[in-house]
Amino acid sequence: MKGMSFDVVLCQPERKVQVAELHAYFWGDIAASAAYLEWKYERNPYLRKSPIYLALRDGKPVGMRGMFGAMWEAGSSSQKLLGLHADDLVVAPEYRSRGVVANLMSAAFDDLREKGWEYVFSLSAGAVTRLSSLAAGWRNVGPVGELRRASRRVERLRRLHGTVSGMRFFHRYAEGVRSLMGRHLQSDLRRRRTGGAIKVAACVSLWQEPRPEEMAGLVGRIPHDGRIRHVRDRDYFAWRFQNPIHKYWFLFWEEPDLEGYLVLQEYLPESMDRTVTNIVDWEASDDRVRAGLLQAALRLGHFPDLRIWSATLPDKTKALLETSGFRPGGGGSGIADQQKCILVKPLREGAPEKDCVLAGRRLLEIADWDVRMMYSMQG
Amino acid sequence: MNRASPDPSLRGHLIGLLEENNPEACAALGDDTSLIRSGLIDSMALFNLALWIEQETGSQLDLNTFDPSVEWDTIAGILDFIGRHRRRDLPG
Repeated sequence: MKGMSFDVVLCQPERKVQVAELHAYFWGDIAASAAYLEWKYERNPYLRKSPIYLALRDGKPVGMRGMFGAMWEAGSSSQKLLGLHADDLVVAPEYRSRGVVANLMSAAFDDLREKGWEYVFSLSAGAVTRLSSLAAGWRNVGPVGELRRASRRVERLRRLHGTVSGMRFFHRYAEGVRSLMGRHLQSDLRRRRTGGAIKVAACVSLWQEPRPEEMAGLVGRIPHDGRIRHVRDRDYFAWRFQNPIHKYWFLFWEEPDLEGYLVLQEYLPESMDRTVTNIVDWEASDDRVRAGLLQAALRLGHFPDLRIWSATLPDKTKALLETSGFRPGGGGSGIADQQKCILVKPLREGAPEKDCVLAGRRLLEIADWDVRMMYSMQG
Repeated sequence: MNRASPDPSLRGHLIGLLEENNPEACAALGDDTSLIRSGLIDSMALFNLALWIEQETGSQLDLNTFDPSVEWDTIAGILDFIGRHRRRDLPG
């Protein structure tokens, strides 16, 4: 017995409206979905026409999976690898459990393999997608090690939300709890209206716009240990912070050249967790600047739930985060572990694990990665 | 451990779980019908199935130690998996 069969095609411009409608199952906002997809797949600096695969039923898209371009680098000579980052998996509710995802992914991987792509990456898979991805041959590189600095009030309300969601007659009130959290537990940062720079410490100021040229210059100046990381050049910084559903703030340390930056991010759609603030990237020329930027961020005001990925940070930086009140987050264990993971799908059939390397660095070993939340669309 | 004769009530529970997920498909489900590879169960259903398997085995599963698309692809495979991984101190 088989599920339904679907035609799988690459998205063409004439289907943009249909695709935005399908994607809107995420946030319930077609215009937001259209803007997001255009930014991510059409204005991507490394792959202008990043592919979106569609499963069609009677000519209408009922499932989608996007693959946007991601430029990785590794090794002492910064060898580059253009890879694809799988994201935006959506199936129309009436077609779930009908074999859409299996059809879609199998056709997409066949097509990508034929076109010579070697790897597909995923950095934001939660528990559900992680399990189905592993069942489809993806490899689990490891968890991202999310740390949280969350207020007790947020933790209590989140537990209440979890409890209410699982109760037979009360689950309808779960949305109310979530909405209450989103409305009343926001960071002080979100309330800041000013558009100009704000001085927050002797060398540190807060901005609402990135400085792509200077940020790329700083990344280029700081010695790279050769681990696998995303390329952070001028084009990447200029594109990355235009994500229309996120809001970013930038702390810059200058004396007078840029010596460090720390990027904070929050979600804009009401349907997303508006209590959360993420540190999505953090770079500094030395430990003094790094610590100073974190202190400056914490002094900006109250953050109900501040998060950062720590798995690949140096021990010294992890210790700094711990003394600043960050603790392991995620919740759940076993199958339900909510921790995000790095997943890699080698497209070459039967490729031995030892061959999955970039400039001598192993793609399937977390120790060979330097991963920031900014590299995933979580941040 | 008992691989030869899985608990019939366990099979009933499993069918019920799959039925909740996809009532149409379950009418024709056999013990060797492909569930995962055929796409009959989607990611959410697979997740619910995994939680149920954890509950039935009484242990937390490590996804790095087995391939769910092989071991859980059929009803027979899932029942066999539970039989092999059930904690010895659990009833049934």
